[in-house]
Amino acid sequence: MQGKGTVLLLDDDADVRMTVCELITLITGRSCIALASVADLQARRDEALACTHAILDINLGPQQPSGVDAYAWLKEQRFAGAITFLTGHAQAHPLVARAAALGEATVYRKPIGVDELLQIIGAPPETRA
Amino acid sequence: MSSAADMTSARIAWRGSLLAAALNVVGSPLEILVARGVPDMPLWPPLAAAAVGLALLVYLIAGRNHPTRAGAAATMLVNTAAIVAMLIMTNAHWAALGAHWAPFQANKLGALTVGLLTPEIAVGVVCIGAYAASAVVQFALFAPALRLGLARGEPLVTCIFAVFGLIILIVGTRRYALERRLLENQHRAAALEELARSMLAVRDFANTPLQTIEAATALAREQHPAAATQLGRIERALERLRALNAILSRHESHVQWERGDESFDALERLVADADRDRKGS
Repeated sequence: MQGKGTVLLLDDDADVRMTVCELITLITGRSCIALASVADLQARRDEALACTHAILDINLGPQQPSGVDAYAWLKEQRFAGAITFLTGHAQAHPLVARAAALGEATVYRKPIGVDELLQIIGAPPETRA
Repeated sequence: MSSAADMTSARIAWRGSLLAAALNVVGSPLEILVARGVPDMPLWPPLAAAAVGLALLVYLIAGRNHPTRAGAAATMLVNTAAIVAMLIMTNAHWAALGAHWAPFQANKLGALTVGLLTPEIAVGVVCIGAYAASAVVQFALFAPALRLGLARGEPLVTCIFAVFGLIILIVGTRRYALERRLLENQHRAAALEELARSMLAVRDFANTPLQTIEAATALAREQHPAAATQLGRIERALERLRALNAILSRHESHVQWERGDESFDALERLVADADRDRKGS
């Protein structure tokens, strides 16, 4: 497993990817892999599957495979880590509803704060680096 | 009356006039068919009435997207005038059949049809009055010997039909009022859903930049403790934006998600909404 507790972050927004990953690394000391699309995820399969947590943005852009597709691919590849969805859309939005119906992954609404982020990656606030 | 309500009334009236014109186009030529055995029956009155009906039908179809109550009223009146004029001419020939003629059937049918088709009481009264009055006057102008030879009860029977036409007209206005309210509610619901979609698009578009600000502020707080005062202000501003986000989320229940909404671009939707509103104004 690459770097114990490595977090995978999939989001189509470059600023979110960079700042959230940087924040995770700074406050928990964990590594973070930031990817923009399902194609990037598949291209970096081995690194992705070695992560212990995956945070997937649900809407990865118009006409692009979604975070739900990324979830399906990770499951197909027998990803062993925890998966969390992140979205800026309504709960009733078809993609968000599909993500919520999966049951195994929790759906968080953007913007999430530091405490929620730590909770997602299984690092309670008192374990900050 | 609001402009939306006025537009709904105009649409209903326009539809009634359009149907009346269509019935004229189809019905008037049937007079030729039915009157084949009537001596010296001229062909041109039914054809002229149908031609007027056709012209009105073309006008009403062409203007169906921009209906007006005045336009609907005018076309209904012209259409009725064309039919009544035709009936005055053809009835004179029908009357030659004496007791074999069932008098003023088309006038009676016309009075009932107007009662069914127009939502405007004033227009309906004039049109029904025209069908009945033309029959009464024409009957009065028939030679006494001819009048005696016709079926009993006229022109009173035609007047009774006209009264029934008026009752249908008045009762129909309640039905039209209900339909108008239903259409207005549908328009209001559609407008509310559009507004809700726009509000949610604003929120959805704002959420990703807010996530960046949230994470960047937390990052800066860790890296630059000396900037705590300034970062506190940013965090308070973020709290206010979160509150706005929660308010906008209340619109979620007003939106019915459709096929194709799965992966929409919030900014694209907002630009499209703004363009549509600008064109509509």
